[in-house]
Amino acid sequence: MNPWTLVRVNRGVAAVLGLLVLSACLLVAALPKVTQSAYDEALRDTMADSEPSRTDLVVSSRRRSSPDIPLTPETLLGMERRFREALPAELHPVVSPLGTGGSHYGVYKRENPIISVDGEIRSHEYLDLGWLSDSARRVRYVAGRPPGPPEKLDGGPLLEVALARKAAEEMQLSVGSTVLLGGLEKLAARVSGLFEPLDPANRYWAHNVAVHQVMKVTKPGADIPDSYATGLVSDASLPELGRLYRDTTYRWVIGVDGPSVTTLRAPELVEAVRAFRGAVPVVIDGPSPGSLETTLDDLLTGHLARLRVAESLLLLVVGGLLAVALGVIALAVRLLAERMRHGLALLRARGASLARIAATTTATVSAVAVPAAAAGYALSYAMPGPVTPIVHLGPLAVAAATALLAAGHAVTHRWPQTDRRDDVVASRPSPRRITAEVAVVVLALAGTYLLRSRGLTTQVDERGSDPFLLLVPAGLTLAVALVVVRCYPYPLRLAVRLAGRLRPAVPFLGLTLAARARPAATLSALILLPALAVAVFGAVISGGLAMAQKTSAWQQVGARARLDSYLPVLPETVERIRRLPGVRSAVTARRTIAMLSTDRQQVTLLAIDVPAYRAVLRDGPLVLPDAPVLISPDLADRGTLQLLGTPPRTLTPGGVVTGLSRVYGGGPLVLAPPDGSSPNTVFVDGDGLDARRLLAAAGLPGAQVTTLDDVLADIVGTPFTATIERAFSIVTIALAGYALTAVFVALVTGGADRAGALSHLRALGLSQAQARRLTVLEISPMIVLTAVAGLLLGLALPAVLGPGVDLSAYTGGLTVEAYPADLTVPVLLAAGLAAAAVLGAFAYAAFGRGRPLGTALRGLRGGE
Amino acid sequence: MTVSRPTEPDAPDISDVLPSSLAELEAEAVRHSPAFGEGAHILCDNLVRIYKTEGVEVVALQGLDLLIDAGELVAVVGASGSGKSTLLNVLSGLDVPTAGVARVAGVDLLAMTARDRLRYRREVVGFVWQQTARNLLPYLTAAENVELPMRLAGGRRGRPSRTTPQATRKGTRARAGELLELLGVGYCARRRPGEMSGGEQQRVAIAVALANSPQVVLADEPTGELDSETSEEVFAALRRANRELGVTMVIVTHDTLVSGQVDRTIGIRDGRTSSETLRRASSDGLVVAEEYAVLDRVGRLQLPRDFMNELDMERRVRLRLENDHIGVWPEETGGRRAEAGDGAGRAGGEPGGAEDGA
Repeated sequence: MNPWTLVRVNRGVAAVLGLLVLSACLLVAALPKVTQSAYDEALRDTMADSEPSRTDLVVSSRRRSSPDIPLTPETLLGMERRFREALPAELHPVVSPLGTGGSHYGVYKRENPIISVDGEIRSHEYLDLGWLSDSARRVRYVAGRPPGPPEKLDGGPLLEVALARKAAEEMQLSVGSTVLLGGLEKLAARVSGLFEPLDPANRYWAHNVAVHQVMKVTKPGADIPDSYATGLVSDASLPELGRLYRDTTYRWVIGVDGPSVTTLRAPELVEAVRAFRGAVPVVIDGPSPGSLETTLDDLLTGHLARLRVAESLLLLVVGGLLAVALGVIALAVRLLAERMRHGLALLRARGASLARIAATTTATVSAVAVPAAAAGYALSYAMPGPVTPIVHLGPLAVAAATALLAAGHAVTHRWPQTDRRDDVVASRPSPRRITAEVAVVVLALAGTYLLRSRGLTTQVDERGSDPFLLLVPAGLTLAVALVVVRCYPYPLRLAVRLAGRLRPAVPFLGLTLAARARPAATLSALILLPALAVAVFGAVISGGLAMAQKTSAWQQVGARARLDSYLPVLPETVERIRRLPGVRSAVTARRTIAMLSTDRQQVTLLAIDVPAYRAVLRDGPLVLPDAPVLISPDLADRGTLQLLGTPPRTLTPGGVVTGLSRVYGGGPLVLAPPDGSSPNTVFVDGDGLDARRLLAAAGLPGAQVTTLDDVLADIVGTPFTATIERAFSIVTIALAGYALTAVFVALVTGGADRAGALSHLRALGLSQAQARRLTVLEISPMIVLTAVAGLLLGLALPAVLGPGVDLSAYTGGLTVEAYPADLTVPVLLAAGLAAAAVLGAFAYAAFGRGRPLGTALRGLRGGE
Repeated sequence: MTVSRPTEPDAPDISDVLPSSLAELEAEAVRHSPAFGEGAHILCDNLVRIYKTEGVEVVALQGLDLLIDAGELVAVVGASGSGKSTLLNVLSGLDVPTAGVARVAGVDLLAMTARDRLRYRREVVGFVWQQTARNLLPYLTAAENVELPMRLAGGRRGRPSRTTPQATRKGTRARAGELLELLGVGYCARRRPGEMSGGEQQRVAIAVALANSPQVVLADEPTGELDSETSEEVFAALRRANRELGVTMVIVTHDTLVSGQVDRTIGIRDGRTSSETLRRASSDGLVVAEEYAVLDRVGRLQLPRDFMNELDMERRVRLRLENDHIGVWPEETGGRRAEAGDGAGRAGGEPGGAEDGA
């Protein structure tokens, strides 16, 4: 039988099936693709936001003794080549060649104090000497000329140097200045020219900031910072530089090309960087120790940790979506098979083998599913993102599953069908089936208990994710579905008893039909269950994430805004801040580091008026107990605290405050009443607080303002969080669509039976309007019960998966412990979906094509 | 049922005539007669079919016996729920009996593998159902519908058929044309079922059933949805196929027009064959119909329900062996009436007693 004929005959159902397969393939191929591209975007952002010195591979070496072989550019280049040869193959595609990106090498001779400039004594000034590969083509001389070969002065070398114009001006050095440098060796430099970097934003200069600007360093115990300028020497001076082995550093920078570092490459790159770190000391043999200075591997590891959480969440959500999609596809295949049933039964009766029936069904379904899957697959290419194996495998799996489902329907044409007659209905399920269902429920509960008690496998890093994390929710969903199917008639029978006492017949009839529906018919409505569970799970996770992010931001700031100053904050400064528009109140505090007399442990002492501070915190998540002295939980069991400091204080804690210590790095914290010393911190409450305006109002040099909004924006603004939120939204919309389709397909599938029953009732005097209400009443109880079960399951899932989904990577380090008790969004979701499904049923009943009564009744008699 | 001795003094004692147990009776029957149904084209012996679902048991056939010879045209009649459709399902291989013997054209229907069953459906039997729409695929033309079984039996397209003489597609087409012509619907060859009348559809359905030259055609109420004139045409087509192709025909029907024109009508009641009506042409050219009750191999007999009602027969009856018949009397009055009677068997159901001609 030509499958196209069957498709043509059943074109309506075939179109629905095609659309379902297309959408499932598109979702399953495009979602991972889009999220993968978001992961890469997140990684690119991380790479771009990091200092080049952290992301590039910097091999650094110090020479301990003067080498016998003079140092030349060629020697350094030779070493550069050896390092590149030692690079693991995985790193080759991501490093930039020498001379491009950040790749270069150089030598620095640091810590050369300036004794005098042209005879004028200088102090707190240093002139570092440096040689950089490639420097000639990266600078433009604005005065003088490039440095020439070294000369001799007083028996020591006189090196010609070129200085950045800005640095020279700041250090008051001009072309021709001779600088005498101190240190163990006799050393002098003469400024031959001034330059400006051609492209100061280039990664090359990010590695050599000290070359184009003066660095200020305040040494421990010093009052005045030291100024460091760096002069570049010529190639000819390099051997001289090589001879100065004290405080001489050699650096080979192998630039890493940010955009080519992708999430997919990240795991192998982490390994490769670690391998290279091990290889560097081998390449640099001899007495000079060398090491690889990069945090690329840590950066990537952090990224992978965040990625894993995102992947686990998306796996759950997309897995749920796929299951729901396949469920709806199964319904559509069943509907198509039902429509072809007569033709196939006739073929079978006329001598077609079971294999032939299976082939015909499969070919017909495939004739729809394969082009639809191909279209979905092709459409997924319109979405941005790398092509991962799932992009190919997803649509293939959907198409294969659809074909298998179709082939499975051939079994219904097996004969002889012993012990089965259409007019003899099974009154109770077989013991075998009950045992299987009980086993599923027990397994799901046991799995949940195990997941909660043991957490996830410790080998998540190696394996990517714990399959248990996906199995438990799937098992739980199945278990809840089985329980709902088995148990839903009981409350309904109660309702039927009540409805039986009412005068109108429709509620009684509708509820009776619902209570007596075959489990097979109710299974279709059960697609709502995973759909709602996943949607509610997404909403709860989003809510929990948002709440934890907010709490985390509060814990990092300690108020809606915080001003930290090294200088004392005067009352008039506070008054200026208070007068700013939007500021509601401000409370001052003095933050000092104190020491416990008992074990000399350092604690942060915040001298603050606690009631005033509580007013500032008002409806934020930080809660202060009503006591003048508060401590962080880690000091809880110490009793009265003896603090050393000026003056020493004895404090009796009146309560414990959690979370607040994260404002000062998470160490022990003590809140005590002010002791009269001048404050250095201001906690500000208000709306629309702007850091710059607060800073301007304070007018304190060196002060810093942190606002809650900025910190929260930083936490929320990571591409990962946005990806998760977006994926949740897409999946929720898709699930709603699938759930509605499922209800519709279920209604159409049972349409013939329902029309028959209604025709009988209409012959007994049921009106059209009553028939419509009856259809809605028949389908509603299952939808409502399933919606309630889905809602409860969705609310329970985050708690069940608690240890499996660690969202701390998205909350600025705070573990999401509690999910919000606010049920508005989940309940609205469930109610909306259930209402939409019931409305769909009503629309079907109202606008569905009805057969003339006579035809319907005659059809019943004939058994068709 | 009690058995009484005849009143004549020289009559043999019944205990001498009848074996003492049922088993002996059966053994006796087997010893003296040829094997039951030997040589019959369709044989059902003590056929039982029970449908069992959780807690519900439906006994559809309760030891049905049936013998049909090759080339016969037989009608099966019975009330709704009497087991007609179950019998037809068993004979068509759709259903497997719970116990008993069912054999069609030498094929044992209880011992068929899936492959045998398929071959049986392809080579041995053809079907016609009541609903005209159920017999034909609505999107194929009449000729394509007739070709379908031949193509299904022929395996892969283009491969010569093992079962039918139509080796090629051309042959298949020619055979379909012949069959449609034979049944008088040659002009419908290019029409789809929706473009044909009910009678035409049923005649095409008969052609489909005959496509693979089956030995038996089973028809389930083939004229059930048709008016009397069209029924006549369809029945004529069935009879033509029976006469000209020599196919054994079993027609389940409620239609008196059909049951009144076949050689033999078999009545089924409560899952058993209860009566047979034989028709033969008398010497004066009229068709004479004689109705018989069916006696099974172990001597069981179903008395017609109205006979029993008329005489208030319940649970027990008296039997008396006469010279040429057996008398059956209700429990209380049986002996008295027997004594008053003249001993001659009565063929009808007059009030006062029932007697079966031996």
